[in-house]
Amino acid sequence: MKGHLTSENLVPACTFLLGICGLLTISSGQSTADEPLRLVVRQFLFLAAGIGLLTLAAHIRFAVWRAVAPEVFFFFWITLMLLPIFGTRINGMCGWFRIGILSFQPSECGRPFFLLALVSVFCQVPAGAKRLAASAVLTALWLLPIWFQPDFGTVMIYALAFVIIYFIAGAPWKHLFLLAGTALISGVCIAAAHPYVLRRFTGFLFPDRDPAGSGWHVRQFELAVSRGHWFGSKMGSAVWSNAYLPFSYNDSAGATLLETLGVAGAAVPALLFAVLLCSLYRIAVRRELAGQNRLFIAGTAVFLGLQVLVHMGVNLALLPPTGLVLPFISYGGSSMTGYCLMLGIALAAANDGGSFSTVSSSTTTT
Amino acid sequence: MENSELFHARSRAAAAVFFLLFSVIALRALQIGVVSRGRFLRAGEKLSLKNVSIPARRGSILDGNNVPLAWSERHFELWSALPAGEHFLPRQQEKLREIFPDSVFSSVTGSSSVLRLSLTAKEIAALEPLILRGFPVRIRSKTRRLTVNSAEIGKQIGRVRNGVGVSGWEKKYDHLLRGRNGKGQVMLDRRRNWIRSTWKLTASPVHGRNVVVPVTVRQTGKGAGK
Repeated sequence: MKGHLTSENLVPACTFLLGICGLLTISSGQSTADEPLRLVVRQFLFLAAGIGLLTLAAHIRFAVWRAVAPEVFFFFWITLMLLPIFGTRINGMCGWFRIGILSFQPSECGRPFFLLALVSVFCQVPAGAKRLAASAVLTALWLLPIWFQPDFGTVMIYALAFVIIYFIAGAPWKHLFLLAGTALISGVCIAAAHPYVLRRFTGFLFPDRDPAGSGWHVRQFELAVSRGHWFGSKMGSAVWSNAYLPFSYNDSAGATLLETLGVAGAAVPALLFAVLLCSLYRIAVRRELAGQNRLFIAGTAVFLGLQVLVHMGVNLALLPPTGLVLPFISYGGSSMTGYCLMLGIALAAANDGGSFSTVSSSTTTT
Repeated sequence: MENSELFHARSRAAAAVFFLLFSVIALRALQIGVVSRGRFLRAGEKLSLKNVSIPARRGSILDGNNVPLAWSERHFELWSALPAGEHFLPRQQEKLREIFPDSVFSSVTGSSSVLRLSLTAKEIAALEPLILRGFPVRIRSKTRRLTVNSAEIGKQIGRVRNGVGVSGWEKKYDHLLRGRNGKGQVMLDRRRNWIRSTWKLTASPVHGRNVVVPVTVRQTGKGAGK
């Protein structure tokens, strides 16, 4: 029985269970919609596709992923650049391609290939200024089209992940201080160029100054979460999320989850996230893994952990609203498939192409 | 990635920072959801709860043969909820025309215009989903009092208290006819629509009693008016 509870098996299991929690959340957040089950059914299909993709990706050798990474990275970068021409604008952000009834967000789907490219730079370019310059240019190139969508929440996640992964990869402290300074200046530039960003920030700091405007989201998150108490409202009746939260099934999924399940109930998905992140950490620190493999696995954990942190921080009024989704819980096919693919490649990096069970048994017997 | 020890040390440091930040998240959830819950709930109620008065149905006035001389009828009116100085957009007008093909809504402006009197059940059913999605109209429930009020009947009844005819009976028996209004509470959504599942009746209305007056009216024709 113990042989089945390996980190490699816990990753897909937790992903699937988190997806189920997501279905419950979306169902609760859409209970008063015209077609309450429409998004639930679609999310179920995304989950099935995501788990399929994860399994498939885990069975392909990591060397193959590394080999195709430059071309796929370039493909996603081109799609990001084409968004202003062919993309669809949703909520003031031009971040999606609409193909029939489906929407495709390159910044979400392309994340694994950005990470592969970044890890390659960290492992192949000699340490020092050259490595910093190469990785910073790569990240800047990737973030530039996302900046102009504009999707500053995603830019922030990528930028933070870049700094943390560079830190883990052994960055000198002076490089880290330089990056922190650059991030600070970029933040000031964003606030100066886009007044709504500054409004969100002041709305977060002083929600009572404009409770119906910039302070609205912050107050509503608190009010929705407070209704959940220990064990949540009756299933399907997350009344506040339905009535007051913007995108209760997506950007506000964390608050919807807490209103639906309560603080004690939400411990289940929190525990699943914790097990998922710990499993990735345990795999990453294995001595037998090559540098590029373990850095990719650590990078996957960093991206996932950061996004969960920022999403929950926003939904608990600890951070200003960013519009980021909660991985595996929020509605959205691009996020689901993007993260599932990343986890699949991380498992491939752990197995180096072997199947789950073979590697599991070999790791437990060695 | 030359130094495996450095990778392990830095991974541990990053994991420790993540653990700390997740602990902050958990504590904040506990604070909002449990510790300070009451304060947030009160703020939420202030924002969303609406106290509703449920009008009691006024009793009817009947003559000695139980012929109604005054009675109440409930109906539903459609009102505009447009901001001051604004008109319905072309697509909004089109939606309204789908429900009321014979009406024109292009000149309607502001929130104080009655668009239709006496909506049918079918019309209300068609309007409801639109209103829930924020369409700028409102349905208001109204009660109108109808009375038999011909001059001949007035003459037959004569003067009652300060009035003549049926209106005199209305004044004389008002304490029996009016009943007592009920009370309820409901949560409103962001567009100020009722959230039906939150409706709570706090006091049932007591409807007015019917009054049979000690006359028998010879009807020569029945004229009804407000």
